[in-house]
Amino acid sequence: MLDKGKKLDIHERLFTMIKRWQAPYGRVYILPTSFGLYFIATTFLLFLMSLSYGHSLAFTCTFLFSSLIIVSAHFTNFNLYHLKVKDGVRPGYGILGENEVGHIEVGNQSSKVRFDLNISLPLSSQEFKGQVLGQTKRPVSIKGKDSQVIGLAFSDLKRGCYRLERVKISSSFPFGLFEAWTYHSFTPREYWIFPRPMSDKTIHTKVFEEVKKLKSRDEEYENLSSLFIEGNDSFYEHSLYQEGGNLKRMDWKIYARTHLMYEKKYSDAITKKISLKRKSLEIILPDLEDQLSFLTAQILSFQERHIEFSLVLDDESPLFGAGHDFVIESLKRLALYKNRGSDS
Amino acid sequence: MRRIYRTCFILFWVSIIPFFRQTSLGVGFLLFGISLVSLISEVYRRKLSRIIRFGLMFVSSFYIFHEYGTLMSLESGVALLSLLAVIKTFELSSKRDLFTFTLIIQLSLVGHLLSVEELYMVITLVGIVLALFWPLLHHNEYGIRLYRDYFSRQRRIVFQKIFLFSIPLTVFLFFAFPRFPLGNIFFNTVKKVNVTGFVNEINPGSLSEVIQDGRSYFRATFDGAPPPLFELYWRGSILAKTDGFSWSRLKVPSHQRGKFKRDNIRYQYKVDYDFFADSPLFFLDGLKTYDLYSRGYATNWGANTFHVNSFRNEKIRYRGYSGVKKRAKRGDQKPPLKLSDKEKALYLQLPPREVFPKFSTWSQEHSVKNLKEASVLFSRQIAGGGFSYSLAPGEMDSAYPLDDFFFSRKIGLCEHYASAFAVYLRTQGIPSRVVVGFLGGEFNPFGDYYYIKGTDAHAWVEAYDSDKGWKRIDPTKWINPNRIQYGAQVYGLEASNTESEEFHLAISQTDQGLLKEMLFLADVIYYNLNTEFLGFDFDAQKELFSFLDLKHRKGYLKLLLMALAGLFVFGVGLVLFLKRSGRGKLSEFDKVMILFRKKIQKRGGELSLWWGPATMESYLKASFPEDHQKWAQICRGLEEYRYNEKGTLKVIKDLVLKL
Repeated sequence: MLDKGKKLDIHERLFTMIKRWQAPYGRVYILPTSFGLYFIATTFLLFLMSLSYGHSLAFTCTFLFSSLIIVSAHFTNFNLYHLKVKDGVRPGYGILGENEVGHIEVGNQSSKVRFDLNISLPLSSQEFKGQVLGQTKRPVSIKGKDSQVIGLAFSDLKRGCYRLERVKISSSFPFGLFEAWTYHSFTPREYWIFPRPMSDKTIHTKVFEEVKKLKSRDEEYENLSSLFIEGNDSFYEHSLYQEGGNLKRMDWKIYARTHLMYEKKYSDAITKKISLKRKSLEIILPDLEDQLSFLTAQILSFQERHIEFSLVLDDESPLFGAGHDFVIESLKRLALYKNRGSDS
Repeated sequence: MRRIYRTCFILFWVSIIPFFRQTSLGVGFLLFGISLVSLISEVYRRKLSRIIRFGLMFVSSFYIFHEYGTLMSLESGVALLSLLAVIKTFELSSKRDLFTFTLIIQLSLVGHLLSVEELYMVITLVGIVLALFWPLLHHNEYGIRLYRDYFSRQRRIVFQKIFLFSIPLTVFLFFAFPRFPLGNIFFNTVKKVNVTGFVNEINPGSLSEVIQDGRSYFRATFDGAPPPLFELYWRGSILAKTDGFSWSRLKVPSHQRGKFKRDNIRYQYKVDYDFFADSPLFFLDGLKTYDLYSRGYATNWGANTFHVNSFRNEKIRYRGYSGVKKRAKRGDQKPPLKLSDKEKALYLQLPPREVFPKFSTWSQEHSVKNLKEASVLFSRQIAGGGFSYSLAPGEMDSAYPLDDFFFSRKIGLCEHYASAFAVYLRTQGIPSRVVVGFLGGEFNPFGDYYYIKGTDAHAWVEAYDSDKGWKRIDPTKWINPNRIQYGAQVYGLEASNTESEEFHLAISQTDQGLLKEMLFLADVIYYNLNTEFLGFDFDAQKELFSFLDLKHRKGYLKLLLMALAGLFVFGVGLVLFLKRSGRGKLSEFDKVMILFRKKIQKRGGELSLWWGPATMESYLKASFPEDHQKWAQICRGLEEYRYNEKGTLKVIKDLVLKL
C-alpha cells in the first residue's frame, strides 16, 4: 500500500513537473524573423568567407555572431515562460469604435522580467467570416512576480458576438532576430461588441432637429417624443439596492447609520416606462447603424437614470425591464440585430 | 538629433575607426565628408532627396573605383559597404532601416577583419559587436524616448548576460568547430606596396632609411639551439645588375637540381612576418627546403631566393630548413657547378668605365688573380684607407658616385662597401653579386626567437670561386666588425669607442634591465598568443584533439566519455539554472492541486491535469452530486486564488483535507 502510494506520489510529481513545463505556460514556438533570417544568412556567408580565407579573426567574428544568435534565441524562447493569462477578457464586452475595447490581465510568475510582449487576441465570429485581431499598441514588459492589465485595440471590428478561445503572446526580445509565441487557451466564452452610442452632440444636431420638423405630424411625433423625455428629479421613495443599480443614487446616509444599502428612487423612474421602437426612428435616421447607435445611447442613458424601458426592434411585443442585466441583454440584441428588410 | 540616428552614427564610426589604417586616405576623407553632410542634414532636419543620395552614391562609387582600380577587390568591397552604411544614415526612419544598417555593418566588419591579423583586434571586435547589438536591444522601442527606468536597467542586465554566455560559446566553437578546408575562393586583393622595397633595388644610402625606420619585419623561432648572431645572414634577394654603384634585381638562374632534399639540415626555423606584403622569403645560407603556411604562391627568383605573392591580406608564415653541404670524401670531391657563359656575362656585367673612371684605373692598378687575393687587397684598402662606417653617409656625387665614395668621402654603410667590392670583383673578372636581407636580429631570451627589424637590414657580397662555388664575403667586417658580432645594437654606440671597455660594457647592458626584460616578456606573450591564434587551422585543430587518438577504438571511447561528461556538466548547470529560476520547486497551488487529485482518486474519480477549476467543478458535480456544495467551494476558491488572486490557499487546503 505504502509502495503504491509512493509510486503514485512520484507519478503525480512527474506529471506535475511535465505540466509545469508545458501546460501552464503553453508550448512556446520560435522562428526567425525576416531580419533574423537575413542575419543568419549573412552570418553563414561570413562563415564561408572565413573557411575560404582560413582567417582566425573572421572565424572569431562569425562564431561570435553565431553564439549571439543561439543565445538570443534561448532568451527569446524563455522570455515567454511562466506567463499566466487570466481567463477571459474584461469586461466581456466592448463598445464599437473605442480605442481599447478589451483588457486582458497577464501575470508573470517568474522572478525575471518579461520584456516586450505583444498580445494578440483573435476573435472569431460565425456572422463575419475570418478573424478580427486585437493587439497591444506597444510591446509590454512585466516585472517579475507581477501582473499587468493590458488594453487591446481591435481593427476592423464590427458589432456582434465573437468567440474567444485563446490569446497569443509573442515577443522578439532581445534583438528582433527571432520571434517566439505561445497560446494561452481560455475557457470558451463570448465576447460582445455593442454598437457605438451616439454622442449627445449628434443626437441634438441630427435627431432633435428632425424631430422638431415632424411636430406637425402628431402621430409620429408622439411616438418619438416619448424617447426624449427629460428626467424628473423629484424624490419618490427609497428602495433596497439591487445588483446593477446606480451607485450614484445610493443613499449613503442610510448606509452610514444602518449599513443597509438603499437607493433613492425618483419619480421619473417610477412613473415612466419608455418603449424604444426602432421602426419609429427610420424617418429621421434612415441608416440602420445610426438607429442602433442612437438606441444604444438611449439605453445607457436610461440605465443611468433607472428608467424602465422596452426595446422593440421589429414588431415583437414590448418587454419592459431595467437594471444591469436587462440593459446588457438589450445591448446584445442591438449587437446582433440585422435588418430583415436589408437581408431580404 | 534623433536617438536612432545618434546610435547608428556612432556605430558607423566605431566600426570604421579601428580599421582606418587599412582604408586609403582618399576614401577615409570621402566617408568623413559624407558623414558630415549626413550629420548636418540630421541636425537641421533637411532631408536630402533620393536623387541627390543616388548621385552621391554613384559619384562616390566611381571615386572608389578610381582609388582602387577595381570594384571587385576586398578593399574596394569594404569601402563600398562603408559608403552604403554612411548613405543609409540619411534615411534612418524606421525599424527596418535600423535592421538594414545593422546588416551592412555586419558585412563590412568581416571585410575589415580580413585585412588585419592582430590578436588585439579580438577586443576591438567584441567592442564593435556590442555597439552593433545595443540598438537592436531597443528595436521594439524604436522612436520612443528611453528613460533610465527599471526595465532599461533589467534590459542592460540581459544584454550583459547574453554576451557573457556568448563568449564561452564562441571560444568553444573557435576551437572545436571543424575547419574543413574549403579551397581558395578569394576576392581579389589590391596589391600592397612592397614594404621590403630594398630587396629589388638599392641605391647606396637608401638602406640607411630602412635601418633608421626600424620597423618590425619578422620573428624567427629556431627548433633547437639558434645559430650565433654573426651567422644569421637572412638572404632576401640577389641584385646582379649594376650601373656602377646602384644595384637592381635581375632574375638569376637557379642552380637547384631536382627536388629539395631534407638531409643534412642544420637549422630549422619558423618565420612569422609582421606585415602584409608580397615579399621575398628570408632564408639562412644553405637553404634545403621550405614549407609555406600562409596562402599564396612562391616564385623562384633564383640562387635560393624566393618571392611570395599572397592570395589575400595575410602575414606570410613559413618554415625554412637550412643546412650544410655534404662533405665529400677525399678523392670523390665533386667540382662546384660551373657557371655558363651566359651566367658569367650576367655576373660580370659592368657599365662603361666612364661611370667610375678613377675606380676603374685603381682596379686596373690593383689587379689580382683570384678571390682570396681580391679580398685581402680590398680589406687592406678599406681598413687602412681612412674609411669609416656611418648610418648617415650623405649623398654621393651623382655623376661619379663610386669614385666620390671610394676616393673622396670614404664614408658609407654596408651597401656602399658591398657595392664597391662587388664592382671591384667584376673588374677583376670574378663573378659577383650583391645580396640584400638582414643580418642578426634581437634575441628574445624568454621566447628563444630572433626579432628582426629594419635596423638589421644589411647588404653583402657573394662571389664565385671556381673551386668552392659561390661564397659569402661581407665587406662590413673590414670596416665595422662589431656590426657583425653584436648586431644592430652597435648603431647607438659611438664608433670611436668600439674597442674600449665602455663599449663592451654598454653592449652587455643593452639586453639587461627590468624594463627591457618586461618588454621581452610582453613580446613573447603577445607573439605566441598571436601566432597560435592566427595560425589556428585545421592541422592545429587536429593536433589539439590528437589526445583523443581517433585512429583507434579507444579514441572513440574517450570521445564518448567526454561527450557524457559534457552532458553531465550541462545537466548539472541546467538544474542549477532551473533551481535558481524557481522552476525546481512546486508552488503551493500545485501542492494543493496534487492533494485534491489524490483525494478524488481515492473516491474513484480522475481529474485531468489540463482541466481548469470550472471544468473540474462541472465534472465533480456530475460525478459526485451529493457533495456539490463542497466542490463549488473548493473549485471557486481555486479559481479565485489562481485567476483573481483572492483568498488564501490555506482555507482551500483545509477544505480539501476534510474530504
